[in-house]
Amino acid sequence: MRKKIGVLFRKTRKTAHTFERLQTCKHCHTYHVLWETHCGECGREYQPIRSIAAAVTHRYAQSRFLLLALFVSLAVLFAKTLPQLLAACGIGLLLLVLFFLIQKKYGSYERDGQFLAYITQEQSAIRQALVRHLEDVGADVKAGRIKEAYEKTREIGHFIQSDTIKIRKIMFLNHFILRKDMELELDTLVTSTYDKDFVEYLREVVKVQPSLVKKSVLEYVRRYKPYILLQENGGQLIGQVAGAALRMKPYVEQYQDLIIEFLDYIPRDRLLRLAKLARTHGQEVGWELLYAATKKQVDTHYTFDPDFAGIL
Amino acid sequence: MVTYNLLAAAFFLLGVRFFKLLRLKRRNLSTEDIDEQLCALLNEKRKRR
Repeated sequence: MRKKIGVLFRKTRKTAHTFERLQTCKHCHTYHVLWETHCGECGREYQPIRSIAAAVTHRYAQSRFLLLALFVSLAVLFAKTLPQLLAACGIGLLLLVLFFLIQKKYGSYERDGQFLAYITQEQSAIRQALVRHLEDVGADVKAGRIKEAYEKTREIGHFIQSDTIKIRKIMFLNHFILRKDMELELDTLVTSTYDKDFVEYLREVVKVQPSLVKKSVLEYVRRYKPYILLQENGGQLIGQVAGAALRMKPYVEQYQDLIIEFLDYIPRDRLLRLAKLARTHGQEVGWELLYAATKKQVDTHYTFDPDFAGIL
Repeated sequence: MVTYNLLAAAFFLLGVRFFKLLRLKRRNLSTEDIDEQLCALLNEKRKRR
């Protein structure tokens, strides 16, 4: 068995949108998704791409305004009579004010539209940056810097949701001793096919952070149940996952087949939670089987346990 | 006459700008949409290669 190492992960930035993780060096015209704040090539500070795109849009709006002002100025200059001069000044001023008002009201839509166009235009440069980061990951692995390799892959994984990236992350994570205080991920690692390393990781993570078990993980366990059962202590693992599903009533309702089947493997504290849930919702439609199975399990194994007394 | 032509050109420019912005407003693009499109672009390209 591989010797696991204790690590402390670098904190990942919390952002509302993925594009906020993307930074650019205006000078080198390169993109960056990792934690460095300054360009490795020229040393200049990275800029968020949203602000770069907004500056481009702002300059475009300014150029339109200047063009409009130029037309108005020329109209004033070419005026030959007083009525023409007054009309040029009055109408010109009105047009400039209207431009300002329109810009103020609809400018934000232009910023968003231009930002999307900017991203679309820059997609190959962004992809090149991600490939460059993946090459760095390869170098880190060769040098034995698994923690750095994972941290970089985690950042790249925000942009590329492929099984290759997920499997890499899982392989790196399986090198570490997992702890409660770690910033771990689980549902972002669920692969589209069965992966033994993922199940190994799931076994560890469910022990330290059962709250990471979400719908996608439960679906995965349900789908690949026969494969998981072939592994050592597979039933126990599914029981632990089923126990973690008891956090939320919708999960209990949706995955009660899994819970009933692996009731024997559900830890005592989780069974206590299930018993309390069954007491509260036992009379509801769809809870009959779960209620009966829970009652049977409690009667069989916990008849003399004071914590379970009188619940069902 | 040149004055009026220049004013008409300025008015036309403003009109074009107004309708361009109005079209962008009607697209109703949210930041979530942009985010989704960015991820779709990056992942779609990889699949095609």
